[in-house]
Amino acid sequence: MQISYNWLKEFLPTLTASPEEVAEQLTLHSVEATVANRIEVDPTITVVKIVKLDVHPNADRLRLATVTDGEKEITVVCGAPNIEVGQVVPYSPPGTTVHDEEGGSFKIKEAKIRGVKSPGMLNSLRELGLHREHAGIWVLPPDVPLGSKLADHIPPDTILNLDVTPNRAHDLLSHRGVAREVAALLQIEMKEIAVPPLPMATSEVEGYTVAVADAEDTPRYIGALLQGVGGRPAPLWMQMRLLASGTRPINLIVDVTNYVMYEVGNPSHAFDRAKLASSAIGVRRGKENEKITLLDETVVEVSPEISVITVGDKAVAVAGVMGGMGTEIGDTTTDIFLEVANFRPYLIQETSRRLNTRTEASTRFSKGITPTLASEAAARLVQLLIELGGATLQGVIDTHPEAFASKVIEFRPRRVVSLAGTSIGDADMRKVLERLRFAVAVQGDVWQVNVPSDRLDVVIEPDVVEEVIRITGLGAIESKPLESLTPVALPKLVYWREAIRDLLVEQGFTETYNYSFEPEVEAALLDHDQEEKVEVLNPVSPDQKYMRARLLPGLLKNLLTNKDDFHRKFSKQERALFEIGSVFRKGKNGRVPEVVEREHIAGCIVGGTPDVQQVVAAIANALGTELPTNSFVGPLPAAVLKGLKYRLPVTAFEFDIADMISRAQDVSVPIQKLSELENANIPVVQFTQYSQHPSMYRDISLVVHTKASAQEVEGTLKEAGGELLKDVELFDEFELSKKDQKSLAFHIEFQALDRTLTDDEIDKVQGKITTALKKKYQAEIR
Amino acid sequence: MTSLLVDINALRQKALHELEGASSASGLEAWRVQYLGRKGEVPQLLRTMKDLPVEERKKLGQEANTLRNELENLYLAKSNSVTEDSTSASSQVVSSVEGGHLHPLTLALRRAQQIFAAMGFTIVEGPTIELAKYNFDGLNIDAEHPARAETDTFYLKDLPELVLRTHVSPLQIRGVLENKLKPPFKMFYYGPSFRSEKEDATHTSLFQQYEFMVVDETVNLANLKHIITTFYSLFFERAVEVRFRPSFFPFVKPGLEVHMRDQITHKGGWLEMAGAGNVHPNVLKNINVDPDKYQGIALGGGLDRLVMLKYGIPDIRLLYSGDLKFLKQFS
Repeated sequence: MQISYNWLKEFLPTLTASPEEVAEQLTLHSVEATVANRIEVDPTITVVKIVKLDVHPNADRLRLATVTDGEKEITVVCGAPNIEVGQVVPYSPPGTTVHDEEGGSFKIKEAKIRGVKSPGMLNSLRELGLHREHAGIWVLPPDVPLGSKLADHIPPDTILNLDVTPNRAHDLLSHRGVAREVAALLQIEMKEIAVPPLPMATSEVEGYTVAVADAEDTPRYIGALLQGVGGRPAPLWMQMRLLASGTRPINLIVDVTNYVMYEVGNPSHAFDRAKLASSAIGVRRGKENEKITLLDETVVEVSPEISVITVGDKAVAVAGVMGGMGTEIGDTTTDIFLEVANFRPYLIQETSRRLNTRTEASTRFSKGITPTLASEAAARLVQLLIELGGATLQGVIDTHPEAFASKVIEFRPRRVVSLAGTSIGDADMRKVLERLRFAVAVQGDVWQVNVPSDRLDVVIEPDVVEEVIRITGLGAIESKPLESLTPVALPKLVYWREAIRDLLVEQGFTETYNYSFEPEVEAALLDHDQEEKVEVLNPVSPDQKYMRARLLPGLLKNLLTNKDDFHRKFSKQERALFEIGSVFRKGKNGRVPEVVEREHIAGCIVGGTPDVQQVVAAIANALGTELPTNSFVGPLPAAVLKGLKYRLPVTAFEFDIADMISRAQDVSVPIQKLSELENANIPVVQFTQYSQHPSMYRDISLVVHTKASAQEVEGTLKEAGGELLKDVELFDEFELSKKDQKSLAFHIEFQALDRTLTDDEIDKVQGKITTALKKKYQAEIR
Repeated sequence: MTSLLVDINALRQKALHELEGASSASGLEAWRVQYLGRKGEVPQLLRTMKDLPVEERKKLGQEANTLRNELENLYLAKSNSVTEDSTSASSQVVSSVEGGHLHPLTLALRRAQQIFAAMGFTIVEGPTIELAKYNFDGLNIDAEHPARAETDTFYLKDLPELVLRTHVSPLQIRGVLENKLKPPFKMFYYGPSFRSEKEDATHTSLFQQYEFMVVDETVNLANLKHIITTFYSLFFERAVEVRFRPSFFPFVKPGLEVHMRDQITHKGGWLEMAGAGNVHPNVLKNINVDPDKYQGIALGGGLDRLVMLKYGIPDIRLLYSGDLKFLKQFS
């Protein structure tokens, strides 16, 4: 959520901390906050009025706008569709820095646009760096003085971004809420807004009534009727605050509703009374097949799971989410019905999810707001519409004018020390709570703590403890060891599992971890008996909709991934993989109903070494028990290898390792003390980036003098090969019948980090190699 | 036309004759490249047929493909019997098995298991397909909590009581109830968990978590700080600095986030490591522990994250890539 630092300062007149300091304090004691960006209007941008509009001689879509700053006139080219004579707009002379669509900025120059000189430009919100809106020129309120600099009316501001956790979304999704929190943290004065109270609510105003079908769905609904609201733009200071909150200004009435939402946290919605077909307003669940066209022009099919606002029982808006087209505020609106309500959070959460629509309003309602706030917000809305719009209040309807019960929690101060392990004096605790607007009545060891209405998250004693601890400093907590830490042995399952892992690694296996979803294609290759597979309702993709019933399909996928590596002719090459993990099938007698989850072990060996029978025999021997029945040990069928396009044979095994371990011979698992784990000095190898491009292989055979060392020749080879040479291996060395001559044969692997090498490139490197070998050893390349 | 048929037969004879003579792995490989490789004689022959009229192409293509299948099967059969040992006269190459490697997640979990066992924690494991009531309700996550939506949690078809566990925290309930643990106790548990979300460098739908819980008459946040500092110090093998800041999880109150001073990426600042707090009284009640007599602490974090920090791995997806070039690097 975006928070304007300048707006906070309106509530905190003595705030001297910088935006960075405020963000740091919030992060340490409340919610994570960062400084997002600064808003600064270029000081050369001037306020001008459009006095004349002409068509551009060479372009249909462009116009020539003659503007005045009160003293002189100039003419600029402008392509915006919304400009009209009489508008007050921002003008950037050449040399002004404006913003582009990628968030960058550039200095504008006097330019010729389709043959007409344009000394500067008129600006959209985006060009000023204030909003992404770029459909038209920003029309300023008519009272902004001509010739003044825009920067004089828009002081620089810093925007903070707050990541508000769900428990603080009831009170911190507004500037006033955040200001109150900052006041408590920094112990500075909080200046509350002075709002005249609303008159007594009546059940009917100007013939309008409100009927709420279910008070649990709608704990409170306030309707305020106002007439004569002027159709003018909101004042510049309000427009800037909306922009700082991430919303663009639209018209006075809509802007005031958004403003109050960002100011105190209660969303509201205004209806144009001229467009209402009836004066009977209602809130009820939707009916099947009822349709509403929303303000964003999407058509929504309503259902009983959604709450709607009705006019004469016709659904016109989705409650708590978005208003509908047909009753919305327009340029000619003068009389309005203003809705300030409170809705059940889960209802709005579900509605938002079903309609796949999230708005600033639905976000706040779905997290939960105190119904007490509705009347405060309504009073504030009315005050602003009267002051800024010249409106008259005709009356107020309120379905719950009575106060809501406040919460009192019994709190024992000693629980703070007990839970946090850090001691805080009673007097300090009390001050902290009072700073947070909790009223405290001390009664010996038990305090009666009165919770402010907006703190819906504070319900039980540990919530009060949390309030104290987070303010006085989680940073004050000092490390304290538990009294007794008697080491215990690892469970047998863990001990044997790790022993088997070590055994396999010794035999040359590399361990892999695969996803628990079955890979469709590879599973089909193995064509095992179709156990009842467990199906995922909302899979990540349609080809991964089953939980794996076996590990082998995943290993087949790994075989494919590593095909090139497994087929390398180099003798120093890993050729076996294993995995230990859970497999699933439908069945009874598992740890959960209807699903049997078992831990399997599986392995694949490419090329025949080691021998798979020997490997599983070694496992059986270590555990002192036999393999489970239904184990698979043997070669993969030729059809599978063909499907993988594998040229080397593959043997594999898979069986239930948990079952086998449960029958394992007794073992005394050693107990390790903490001190034995210190200074382990286990080497930690850092990850090295590797190429995603294939390697290319060549063999080279040469004849050299018997005295030439194979090792040295290899060294020369490597050096000549340079960067692109990844690996070399001597695979043959024998004496020739010719005197003093021997043959050496090497495998060579070439690879580049950033590209697939071409034959040409390799030939070049190969050429360098043969040249070097010929030069140094008079080698004869075969 | 007939000459092509002759070519196919001649090729067959030649290939079979040479296959007989291939007695070593490298010889066999050379034969394969010559006849079946990308530029091999059989694929080349097939390519010359593409300009033939349809009828002929069908017939001859069939013959050529039959030849290819025959040669491929013979090759496979022969490769089963030919070993990697070179059979040339005075070869010094010995077929050796290259040592294997453990996955970095295993290395990390082993170390964690050792450390917590040495601190006296009971190690518990649980099913990855879990009861929704342990995964959510037992942990004070009510039916209306947004995390239960299908956008976040994997559900199973026709099995509404189950979920793919979204964290290992359900073992706070299952671990205690199944093992009939009564305070004082200390539990360490871990394993795979699932979230239905878009994958990127720091998020995968499958990830590994570790968590511990201590319940007795006095355990508090100062003890939590000591346990986690000890764990991270021994895991990263150097002195670490830990700090707390407020956070929120339905199953702890007060709730907090644990940070570790960054001595790894050298950007300075703090690294977010885990969520933690005092066990919520509702959770204690759900494991038959009287919240007026006992209290608890719990902490959970990502094992993938620990591994990525310790081994300098930039992208979590590498851990599940099955790529040998990755898997062989760490042990």
